[in-house]
Amino acid sequence: MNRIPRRTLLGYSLTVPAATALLAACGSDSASTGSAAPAGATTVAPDTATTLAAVDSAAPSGSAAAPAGATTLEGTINFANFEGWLGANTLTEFNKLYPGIKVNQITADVGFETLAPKLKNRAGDFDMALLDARNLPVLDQLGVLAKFTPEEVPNAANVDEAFRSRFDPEGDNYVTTDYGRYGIAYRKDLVSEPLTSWKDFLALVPKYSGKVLGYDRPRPMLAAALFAMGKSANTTDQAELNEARDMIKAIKGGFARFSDGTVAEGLLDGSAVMVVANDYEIVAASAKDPNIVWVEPTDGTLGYIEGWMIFDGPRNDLCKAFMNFLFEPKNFADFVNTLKIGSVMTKANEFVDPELLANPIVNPSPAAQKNITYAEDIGEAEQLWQQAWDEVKAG
Amino acid sequence: MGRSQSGVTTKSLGQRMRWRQLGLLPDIVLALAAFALPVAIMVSYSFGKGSPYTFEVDVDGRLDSYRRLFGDTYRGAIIRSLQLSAIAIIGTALVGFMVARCLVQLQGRTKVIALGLITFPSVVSFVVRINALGDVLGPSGPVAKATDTVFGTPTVLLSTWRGVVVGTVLAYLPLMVLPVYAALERLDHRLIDAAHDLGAGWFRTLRTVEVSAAAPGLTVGAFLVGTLALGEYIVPRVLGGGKTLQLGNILAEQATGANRPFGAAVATTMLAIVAIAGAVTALVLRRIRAA
Repeated sequence: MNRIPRRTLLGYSLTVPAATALLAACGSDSASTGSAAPAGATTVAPDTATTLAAVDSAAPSGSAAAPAGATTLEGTINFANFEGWLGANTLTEFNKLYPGIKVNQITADVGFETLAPKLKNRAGDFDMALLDARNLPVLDQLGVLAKFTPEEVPNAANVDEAFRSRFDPEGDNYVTTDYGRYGIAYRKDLVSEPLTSWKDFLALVPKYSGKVLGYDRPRPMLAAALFAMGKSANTTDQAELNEARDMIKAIKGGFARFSDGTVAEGLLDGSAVMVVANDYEIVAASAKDPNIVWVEPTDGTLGYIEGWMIFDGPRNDLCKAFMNFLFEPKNFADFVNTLKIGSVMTKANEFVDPELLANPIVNPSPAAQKNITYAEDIGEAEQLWQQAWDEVKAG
Repeated sequence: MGRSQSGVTTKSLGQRMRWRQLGLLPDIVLALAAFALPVAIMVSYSFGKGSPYTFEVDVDGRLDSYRRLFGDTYRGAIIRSLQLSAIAIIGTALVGFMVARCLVQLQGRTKVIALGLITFPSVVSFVVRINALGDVLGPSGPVAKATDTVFGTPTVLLSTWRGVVVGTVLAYLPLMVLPVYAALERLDHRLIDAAHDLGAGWFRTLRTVEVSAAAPGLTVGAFLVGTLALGEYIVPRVLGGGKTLQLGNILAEQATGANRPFGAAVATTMLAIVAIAGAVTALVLRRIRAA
C-alpha cells in the first residue's frame, strides 16, 4: 500500500535540527557506553540461544563486545527496503556486533506489487523485505516466507501485542516495524471551514477546486468516500464501491492531481490547501510549516501495518540476526526517531524523542487508535477496487 | 558437377548459400527467444485468469480480459491513447518539418551544432526531461509567468491534458525531425528553384516539392512517434497529474500479479495496433517509392 518515495520525506525530517541532534545524541551515547552486548542480539546463532528474560535486560547496543557466535555469521543480506527506511545508526551498530554480515539494501524493488511477482518467480535474490502486513496471506500462499520461532528472534516479542498479532496471530511470519494511516491535512491559514471528517473534506473539494491533492491509489481514495458514507473501508460489495466511485468521480475535477508520490510538497509550497495524506508525510511538513495541520477524520481512518519478512533461502540465519538486532528497544528507538514514525514498541519509548511520542499525528490517542480500520487482504475484490478507481480516472 | 562461366561450381554455390542461411541461425534463435516466445506467452496469458494468491495464470481461452478492456471503463483509455498518438504525430510533423527545413539550409559548423541541439536532449534520461518540463509548465514556471504578464491570467499546463500533449510533442520531436531532415537533405534544391521559375507560389512549391520529398521521413517519423506515444506512461503520469487513464498507465499498473491476464490483453492490443501501423507505414513507403 505504501508506495510513496520516502527519500523526499526523510529529506524533510532530517532538516529539523533539534530532532537530528537528538538522534545523534542517541547514537553516540549508545556507542560510548561500552556496556555488554544486547543479549537478544546473540540469540540467533544456534549455539548462543538466550531467553526472553535476557532480552528485557538488554544493554544499549553498539558495545564493543561482539556477541558469541556473531563472528561465525558471514554473508550479505539482500534487503528490499524503501530507501533510507532504517535508523540512522542501525547498520553501523549492527556491523559492530556482526562484522561479517553486510546488508545490501535494494531500493528499486520495493512494495508488494513489485516484489511479489519476483519472489514467486524466484527472480532476483531477496532475503528479506519491508512489506505491508496485509499481504501476508498472498506471500504465505506463494510459499516464499521463512517462518521463525520466538527463540530464533526473541526480540520480536518486544513489539506490542496489538501490532504483533494483528495480521499474524502465530507471530512467526513477520515482525511489525511501523504503522500508519491516511487522514486529512490542510493549511489552516487558507481553509477557514471546520474540517473534522471525510464528509467535510469531500464537501469542500469543489470550493477549493484545483487546490486539493489526493493519491493515485484505490484504497485510500475510495476508503475516504466509504468512510463518509459510513461503510467499511474493506468492503467487497460492488454496490458500495460503485457509490464510493461516483462520490469521488463527481468531485474529481476539484483535485489538482492524484499523486503517486508526495502530497505534502503541495501544502508546503501553497499550491494545495487540503490533501488526503499519509500521517508520516504530515509530521515532517507540519514541523516545517505550523500552518499545516493534521485532521483525525471522525468518520474513520484507513491504517496499514508494515513489517520485516524473511524469505526462505540460504541466508535466513543472517536475516534473523539482523531482525533481532532491530527489535532490541534502543535500536528500535533509533529507527523510530530517525523516521519520525509511530512506535509499535512501548518498551522502546524511553529512548524515543519525547516530542515525537507526544505528537498525535504519529502516536494517536487510544480513541483515535480505535477509529483506525486497517486495510485487510480482500483477495479477488482487490480487482473491484482497482476497477472502481480506474473508472474514477477514466471519467 | 557443372561449372559456371565464372568458374565456380554450382554445387559450391549451393553450399555457400546454405552456409549463408545457416549464418542467419543466431539471429533467428535470438528473435525467437527474445521476442516471439515472450510475446506468445503474453498473448496466451491474455486468454486466462490470474489467481490473487499464487499469481498463477490459468489459460483456458476465456475472453474476460478483452471484454474488460473494451468495456465502458477502459474504452475511453484506448480512445484517449489513440488521440494522444494522433495529436503527437500531427504536432511533431508540423513542428518537425519546419525545424528540418531550417536544418537543411544550414551549412558547416552551424549545421553540426543545430543537429547536436536536436539530438542532445535524447541522451538525458526521459524521466528527468519530463520532470524538468513539469517545472516549466507548472504554476511557478515560465509559461504561467509569461501568460500572466501578457494576458493577465497564468496558464498552468501541468496536470492537464494540454500539458500531456505539449510534453509528448516536445519529447518525441527529435524522432520526427531526424528522418524528415534525412529525407529533405536528399532533395535537389534546384527543383525548388525550378518550381519557382515555372510560376509555382511559395505554398505550392512547399507542398509539391518539399513535402513530397519529406514524405518518406514523415512516414517513418509518424510511425516512431505514433507507436511510442500510444504506450506513453511517463508523460501522462508526470504532466497529467495522474488524473487520466491511458493504455500505458493501465499496462504499467496492472501487468503484475493476479492482473497479468488483463495486462497481457492491454499489451496484445497495443502490439496489434503497432503491427497495423507498421503495415500501413510499409505500404505508404512502397507507394511513395513507386510514385
